[in-house]
Amino acid sequence: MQNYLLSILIFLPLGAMVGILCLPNSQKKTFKIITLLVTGLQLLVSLVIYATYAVSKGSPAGVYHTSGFQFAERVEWIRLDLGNLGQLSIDYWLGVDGLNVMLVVLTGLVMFVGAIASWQIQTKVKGYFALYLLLSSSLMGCFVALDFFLFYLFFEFMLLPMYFLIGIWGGERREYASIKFFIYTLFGSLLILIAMIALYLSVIDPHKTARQAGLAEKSQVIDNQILTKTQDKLAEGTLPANNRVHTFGLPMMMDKANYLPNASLQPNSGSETWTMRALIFWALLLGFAIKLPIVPFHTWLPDAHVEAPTPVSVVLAGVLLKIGGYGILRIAYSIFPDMAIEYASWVASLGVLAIIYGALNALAMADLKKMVAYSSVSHMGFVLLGVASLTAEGVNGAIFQMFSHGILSAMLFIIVGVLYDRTHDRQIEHYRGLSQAMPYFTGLVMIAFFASLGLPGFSGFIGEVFTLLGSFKSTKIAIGISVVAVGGIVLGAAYFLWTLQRMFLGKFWVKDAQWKTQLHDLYPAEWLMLGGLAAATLVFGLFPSLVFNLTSQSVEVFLGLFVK
Amino acid sequence: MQIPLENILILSAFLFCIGLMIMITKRNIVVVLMGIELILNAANLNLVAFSQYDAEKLQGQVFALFVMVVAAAEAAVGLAILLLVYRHFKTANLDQISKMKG
Amino acid sequence: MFSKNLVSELSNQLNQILDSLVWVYPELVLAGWFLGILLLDLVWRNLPYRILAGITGLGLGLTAVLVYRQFVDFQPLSGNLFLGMLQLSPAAIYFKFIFLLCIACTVLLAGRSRLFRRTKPPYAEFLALLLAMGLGLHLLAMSVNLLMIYLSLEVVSLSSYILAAFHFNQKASEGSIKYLLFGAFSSGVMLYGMSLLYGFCGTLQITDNQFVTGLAQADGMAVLVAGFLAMAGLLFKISALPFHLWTPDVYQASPTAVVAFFATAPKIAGVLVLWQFSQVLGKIDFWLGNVKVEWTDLLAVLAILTIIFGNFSALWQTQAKRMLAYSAIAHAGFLLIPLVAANELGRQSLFFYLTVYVLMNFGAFWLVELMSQVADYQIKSYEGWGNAYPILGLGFLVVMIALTGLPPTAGFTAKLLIFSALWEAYQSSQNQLLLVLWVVGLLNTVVALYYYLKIPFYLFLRPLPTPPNPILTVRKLDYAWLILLIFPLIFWFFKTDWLMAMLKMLV
Repeated sequence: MQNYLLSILIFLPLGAMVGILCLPNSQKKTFKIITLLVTGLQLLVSLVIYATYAVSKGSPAGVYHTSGFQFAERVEWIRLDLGNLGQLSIDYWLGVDGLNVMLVVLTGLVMFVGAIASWQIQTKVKGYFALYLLLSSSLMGCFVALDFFLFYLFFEFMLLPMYFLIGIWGGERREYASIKFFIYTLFGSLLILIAMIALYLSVIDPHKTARQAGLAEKSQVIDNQILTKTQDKLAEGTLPANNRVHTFGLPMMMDKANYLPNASLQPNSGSETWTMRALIFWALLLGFAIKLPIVPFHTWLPDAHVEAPTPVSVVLAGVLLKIGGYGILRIAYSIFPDMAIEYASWVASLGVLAIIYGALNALAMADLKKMVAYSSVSHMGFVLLGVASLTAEGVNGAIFQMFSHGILSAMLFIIVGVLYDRTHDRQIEHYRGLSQAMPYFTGLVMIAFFASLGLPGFSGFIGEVFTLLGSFKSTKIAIGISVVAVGGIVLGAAYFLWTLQRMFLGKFWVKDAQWKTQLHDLYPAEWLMLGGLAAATLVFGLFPSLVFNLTSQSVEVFLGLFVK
Repeated sequence: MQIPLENILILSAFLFCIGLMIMITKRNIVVVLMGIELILNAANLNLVAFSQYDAEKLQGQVFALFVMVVAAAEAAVGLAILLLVYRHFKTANLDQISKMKG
Repeated sequence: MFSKNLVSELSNQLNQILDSLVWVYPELVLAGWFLGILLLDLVWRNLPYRILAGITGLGLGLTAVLVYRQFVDFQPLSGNLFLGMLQLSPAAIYFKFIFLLCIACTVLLAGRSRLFRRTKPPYAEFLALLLAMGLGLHLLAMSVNLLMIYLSLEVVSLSSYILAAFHFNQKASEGSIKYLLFGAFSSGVMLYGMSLLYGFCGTLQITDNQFVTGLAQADGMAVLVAGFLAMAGLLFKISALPFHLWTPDVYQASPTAVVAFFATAPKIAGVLVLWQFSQVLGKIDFWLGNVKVEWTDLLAVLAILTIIFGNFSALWQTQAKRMLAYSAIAHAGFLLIPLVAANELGRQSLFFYLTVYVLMNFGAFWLVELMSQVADYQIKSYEGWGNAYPILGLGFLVVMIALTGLPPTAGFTAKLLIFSALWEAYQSSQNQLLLVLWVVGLLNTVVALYYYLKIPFYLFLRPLPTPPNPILTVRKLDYAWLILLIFPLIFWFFKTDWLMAMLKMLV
């Protein structure tokens, strides 16, 4: 059982989706209950993973140590014989280490909250919940996949449900928003595909190659000695080409010794092929940056958010964006550490650009949901900054920031949803003094806003401070870049406080007098969602070690890639 | 008397170009079909001319015979379709035969 | 009168020809069935389509059995037939199967097609011509001789000009005459190119060593031009630039079943011959002055142009069949990629791509034909039907995703494989043009997505107009066929190795 937890995370919603599709259309309530149960179970499983994730000194913590992954599952999925090119092997390979364990927990949490928020969906219920479950499955898959092909499969797979979720259940300009979302992210994913093809043809799996080339007997356990021998033979060029087993395994791609000696992506190659490595690195970075999103590739995000129904916005901001950050950590940076060092300042500048640009835009928005969407752009900029710093603080902070932003953005979008459900209006200027009509709601809004703007004691503070600490400490980033990023925090405080003041403080007034009767305080379901998330942000803000304990070891291993 | 190969090649190239020009400039379907015949015959001329340098001598000439047969069949089909076109459009002018947007 | 030597050689040759006959039984059956159907129609006029189709199916089945026998009995030595005119290879046998499958699908689709049934064309001729095309395609797949290539290509072409006109209405006649003129033109150009190639090397046998050595000695520029001209007819068949002009009109005007056939079988045959062709010409380095040009450079440029043109033109289309026509052009560009790569992986990936391509196309055209019940192939008229018929909509979605080349469909695997082959070729040659093709080809998927997505967009994102004017009837048979066509598209993504293991045997 223990060994199949990750598969359960992926296939449970998939199975439930099939079940929903088989039920008759009229069972609206059943669809909702099934989805709630399944996502609840997912949350439970991810919490079990969190609780049993072993943190022990000495054991290698994943990243490029294949044995260091926990809850790992690895089965050969596709094996093709490419003739004189050797073999191609795709694994069904799942595993958890410090880089993704918190994101799995986050996905479980946000998908569950999203399922509660989906209760209000009234039209085409069957399709909605089927797609929601499909989305849940592919998101989980994306975070736990350790094979590039598998990762890519899930990565592309979530585009379709997302497209339909926005396009069918969205707001007025849903068609435009959904197509824009699809085209942008597909463009990103094609850049990733380019990198994937170039990478897998340059890398071999030493384990399987040893078997294929007869360097190890059938029954023999492959030890390090054989691996080194295989890699040496590869480097010498004495390994027959048709015995090479090309792999999509991400950890394999992180080991220099696994690259073909004449590949243009070979890390030790001379200056001539240097550019190809840089190009592929940037293709990957750009691909994930579109998802993250990073200015100037962010324009799909506000549109998608504004048009998407509340639960979809929650999932989009809470989980989907994290795939961009996670991809940069797990793939772009881990496989191209040399390039990451080379271009650290550029990447950090992109991050800071997103921070400042997102914050300035948020300040200018009249639509509350757009304001929140741009705040996401700003907050995800910190992730990029932290990763680019290549320091323990920065990278840990980036992971924390992703986790924290997942909780906070979910909360913020639910807040927007609460208002929108009651009045169908999101303009900031149409409300004043809401605290008098909805005191409890206002209390939770204040928690969300203060947590987001980085008040100490809440999770947002930890994420931002650590990424900034990392960037100041980093030798690879010019200090000026970090200084500008601090300005982003100030701006963040400005737009959140200003919004708070405009909408919630002062004398109660709303644009339409009729709204006054509609604006009642929170319903139980909303209490549950907002309260739970608020508790989470407080707990993680007060005890950041709940995250850092799990991540720090792997981050150390990750950083080890950059000193070799 | 043997005609030098170059002369034949030049003639065939000339024929080919005329055929091409007809195809591009003429608008009447029948004339265009004639242009195609010229192209085919240019090729035939080449085939027969080159045939004398062939070790087995015959390949090019046989090819040319087959081409004539095919050309006849093509003309038959072409004219049949032309009749169909004429029935619908009452013209054989290519410029006027365009009901579909390109 | 004749020398003894000549007589003995003659009898030798006759014997060889007689021996070869054993290996063309499938083709003989096709030819016989072609005549049989025509005779049958002479005797009993106005036989219903169902009966004629049944008889045709019988012939196809028999041919398939014979092709299977070839597959079982095949030995490498039995390859050369008719003094080297034809060459039987496992790949040719495999694609003969595919051609038969295409014809069977076409017969079924024509039977299901409403417009086709309404105009009541002469069914017997329709089926007979399909069989004739099948014969031409079978021969084309085995041709290694310029004469045979030309002849079998013409058999295919002449039949297809007539088939293209099979609605016999104004549009069909227009499409057909354009098809004929472009076709005759490109085959004329091809013939001229062939005659020049013949002049360079003194043989028509493209697998002959003399062919390669002859071309290598000739002037580079001249061979390049002649080779390009000789490709014209084949490029026309696969609707690649610059011989693509007929595609949109013919696709729009001809019966859907015929179009589905044109989009698959002749294209496959064309690509196969092109593969043979470029295998030979790829061995030669052309020197233009002191710049080295390779055959693959020419193909790469054609592929880039074709992909870009096809995809961007498809963007503006509002008519489903016209859109599929431009998509067919774009796919022709993708089919050229393995030829550019010209390595072992390229060969396997080409076969994989072609196999998947057949399924995608017949799936797409089957659905388009089904939807034609509600409107005249306008994509706009698909509004909301996906919600009313979810399985139909899902089928459309899968097919469109596969055509775009996204997971989880075999369309993605096919793209992955051809681009892998191309990357490998780039790695070994460091030819920058290949890199350009690689990037352009992959990024074009975004463009492709935009227009392919239009169909699911209208199907699912727009409400059904109330009241829905015509009624859409979907029979159980349709579902069965859709599942048969679409299931492998998904299955082969998850179990790519099964199909690839089979294709690997075709060496």
